[in-house]
Amino acid sequence: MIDTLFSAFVFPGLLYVLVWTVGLFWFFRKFMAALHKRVGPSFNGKAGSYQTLFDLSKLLTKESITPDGVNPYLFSIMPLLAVIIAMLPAAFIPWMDGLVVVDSDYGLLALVILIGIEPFLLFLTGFGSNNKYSFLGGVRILTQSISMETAFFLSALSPALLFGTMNLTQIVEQSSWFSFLILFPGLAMYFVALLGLLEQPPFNIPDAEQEIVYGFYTEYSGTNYFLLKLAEFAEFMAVFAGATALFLGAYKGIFFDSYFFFFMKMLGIAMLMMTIRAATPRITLAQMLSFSWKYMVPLALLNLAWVLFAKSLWFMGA
Amino acid sequence: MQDTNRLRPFFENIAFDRDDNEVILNFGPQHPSAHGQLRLMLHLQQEQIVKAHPDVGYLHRGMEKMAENMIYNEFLPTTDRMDYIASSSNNYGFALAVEKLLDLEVPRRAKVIRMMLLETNRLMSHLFWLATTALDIGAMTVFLYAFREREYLMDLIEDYCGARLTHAAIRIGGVPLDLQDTFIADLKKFLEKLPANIKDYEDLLDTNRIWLMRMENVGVISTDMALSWGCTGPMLRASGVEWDIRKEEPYELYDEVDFDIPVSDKGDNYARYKVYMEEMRQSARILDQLIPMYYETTPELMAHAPKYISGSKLDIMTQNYSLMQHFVLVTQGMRPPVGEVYVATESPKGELGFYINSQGGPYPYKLKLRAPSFWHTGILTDLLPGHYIPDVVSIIGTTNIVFGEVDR
Repeated sequence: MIDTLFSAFVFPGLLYVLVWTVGLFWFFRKFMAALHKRVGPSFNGKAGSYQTLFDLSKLLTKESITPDGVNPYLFSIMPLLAVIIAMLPAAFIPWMDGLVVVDSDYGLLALVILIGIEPFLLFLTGFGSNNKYSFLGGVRILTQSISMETAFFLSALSPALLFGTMNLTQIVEQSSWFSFLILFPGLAMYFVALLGLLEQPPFNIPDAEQEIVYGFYTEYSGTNYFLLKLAEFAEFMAVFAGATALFLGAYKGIFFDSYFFFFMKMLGIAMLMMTIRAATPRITLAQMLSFSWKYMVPLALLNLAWVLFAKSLWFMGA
Repeated sequence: MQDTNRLRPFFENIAFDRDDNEVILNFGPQHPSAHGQLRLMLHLQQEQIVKAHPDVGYLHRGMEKMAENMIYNEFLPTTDRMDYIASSSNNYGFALAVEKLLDLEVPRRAKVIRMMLLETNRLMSHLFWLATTALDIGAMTVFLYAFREREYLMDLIEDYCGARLTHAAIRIGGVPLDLQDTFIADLKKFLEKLPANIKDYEDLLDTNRIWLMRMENVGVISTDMALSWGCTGPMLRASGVEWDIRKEEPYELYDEVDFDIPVSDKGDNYARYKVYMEEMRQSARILDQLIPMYYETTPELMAHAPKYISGSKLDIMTQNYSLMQHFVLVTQGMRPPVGEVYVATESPKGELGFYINSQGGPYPYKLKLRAPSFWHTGILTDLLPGHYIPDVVSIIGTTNIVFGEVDR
């Protein structure tokens, strides 16, 4: 009982997600500032570290406006649902040796499905906003998630094929430097699809500020906006942790195994994502569609063939 | 009984709720990439534009009418508020028109300083254009990099005239101040760095396939279309017409400096981008040549024409006639001879024209402004249909419209 409550509210539950959100938000701001050759937040606290905390608490206390003509229940329940769904995958991730809340044989499946549901919730937020920009954003997020998730799922399945199990703990235990090399094309594809799934540049099409005024975020303010942002960052965590557990050997370190390595691996992915964010403009929806279906999906299928080939070559005889 | 509906503007008669699958999107006037106060009524089929109506007037201040109730010197700071990205070029266009009306000869040093200000303003405007266009397409980094350089130039101009955005640094008959001691050194420092900076932007953008995908073959303006819509400046040059008023009808000392006019015959977004980047280099080249020219001149800043221009401060304080003349010029204003004049200059955005009709009074009888951005907004009607929403943003970006100028 105590254990369940601890994992629901402290680690890897609510508190962990909150701390992660605040910390990662601040880190994004500082890291982007360095890339942009500017200072970033520096006024509140040491190196501006309170800035995000203040931002989030400010959003929590602000009035959350419900526009005219929307279904208020749909409008307000979607951000809440989005947060909950985005936080659930954390329960299936092996954070440390032996520390996994739900040790399921179908952990990978749960991870993939929970990550895959999220865009549909965001689509509903756009759909329920009674705003043309939000509606366009909703349609765009649906288009993008359908095209990107195919490649995402196919590349996420490659470790399961290689190790012959969907249990994340076992995948981590069996992973090695050699399997990392075999799975590297899968990791690269997972990463590109991740950018599309998380709406990061160059695929930040659904919430393009300059085109459709932040898409589905347009009508959200105050607490609801806070919840959507929290969902976004919880989603970051789920997808980064997924990549770490599937391809990078999770908590496995160089001299000792610890959560520290897990965290550093997630941070590395975040930094790569930020660097791409700073370096690229945004592509259009049509270009994203052709990229996804002409290149990503066939390559993901080829990757599956490569993994099967490698498995028959090096893993079957043992 | 009068039909009240007849008096309503066109845009209020649009039915927004339609059942033929066409969405009417009200793009602006409050929109992150509306570049000020542009309002576009977009008829959309899914995300494709079927019909586009630019609606202007949200920043209208009636400058042309205001000018009819102001003496000439009073109106000069108002021109700052037209193209507020490069305000000295507006000051200059107006001052040159009045000087032509008065038939004044401006001292050589004033001419050099004016050209320095004009070219610095062109650089500021083009850097701003690059920054906002890159931001519209999603390249945040270029936005911040270009703003850093623009900030340096704004500081430089602040050193000269005390203002950063609305300079009012050019007067009818010359310039009010000589360059301060550090100006040339600071300018040199900037010009040394600029080629490397421009290369930075090009490294970030030109080698990026996404940037090329977004710019190439998007928003193609053919030569005929550009001419028939009255495009000028970089918009016209990117569409294959070699036309620059600095070369065609040289004013100031533009016939004494070497510079090239970049031209492209493609007419798409990318051609415009290339033209802007090359123009920045040419501006820097002109500035380089101006520095030695400045040192060859004698320190004389205002034209000598006691009937129209006040004497120097020293004269006003010591000589009775100058004081009286100054008093009359300030309280009543100068009275140009009867006549009319149209003067066009090459502002960073295109042909900026001032038409002045003088009836011999202290106020212009009629003043008409020809702002390039106004025509570049009109072309959106023909340019946008067929494109998608992301391209709307990039096309508005590359047309480089500024709404202070469109609405006057």
